[in-house]
Amino acid sequence: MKISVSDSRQIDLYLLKQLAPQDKLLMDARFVLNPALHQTLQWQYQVHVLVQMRGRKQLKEQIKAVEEKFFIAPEYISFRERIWRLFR
Amino acid sequence: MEANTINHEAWLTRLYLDAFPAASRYISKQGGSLDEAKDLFQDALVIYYEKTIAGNTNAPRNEKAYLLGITKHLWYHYRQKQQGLLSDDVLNYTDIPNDAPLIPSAKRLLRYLEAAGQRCMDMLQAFYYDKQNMREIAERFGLSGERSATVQKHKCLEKVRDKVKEKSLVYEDFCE
Repeated sequence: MKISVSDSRQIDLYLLKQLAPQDKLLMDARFVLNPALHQTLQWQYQVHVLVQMRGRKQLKEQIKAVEEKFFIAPEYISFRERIWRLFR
Repeated sequence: MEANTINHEAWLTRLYLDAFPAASRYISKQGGSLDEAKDLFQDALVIYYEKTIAGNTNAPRNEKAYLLGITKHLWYHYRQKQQGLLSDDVLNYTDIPNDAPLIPSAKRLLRYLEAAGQRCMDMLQAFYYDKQNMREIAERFGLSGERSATVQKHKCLEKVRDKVKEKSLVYEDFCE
């Protein structure tokens, strides 16, 4: 089933919990009446989850890279000695 | 906003210098190790990013105190878990509901999607995770304007959604 830009957007807003109560109710009814639309909701939800996973993974990698800099780069020697002293 | 850009390095560097010593001091006093302090602080930064910066709510006035608060909270749950008092992964701070349909091997699916279209994944991530608006997305991806970015984002969503559907239906291929 081809999904319109408008339906994709409505599903996004539904998943992001940004629909007004009356619009959410309308979408709930449409999902019941239209199984294909309901299926699209599920696939779109999986995209949200995967994008969230990817974003978090990339952010963690960036954090680790910054952390490594503090524990390796010569200019941060006083910073890391300060930290090491706390764990002696 | 400083954090809401592609490269978070300057933002992370500043927060690390400001808040990591205090977080480490706390973990050390509680009997934790440097590795534990690093792990928990990493999680604290992710939570801070997701809840405040990317969530488009106001950043707290005292970021250092706020991050220390999150670290203390994470330490408490970490210790509870270590002592067997909690069975769930308390660091699982995502808003994904428990009744979410299972994704067959999400990691493998993600690797496949990366290979199938990194630009689309980058664009969806900019919108759904980094919460960039269409003007910022247009600028970042070299598009002519907000309308063009909206259309591109929709096409990417369709493309990725269809690939998820296609791969989820051949479940066996995507089970580890």
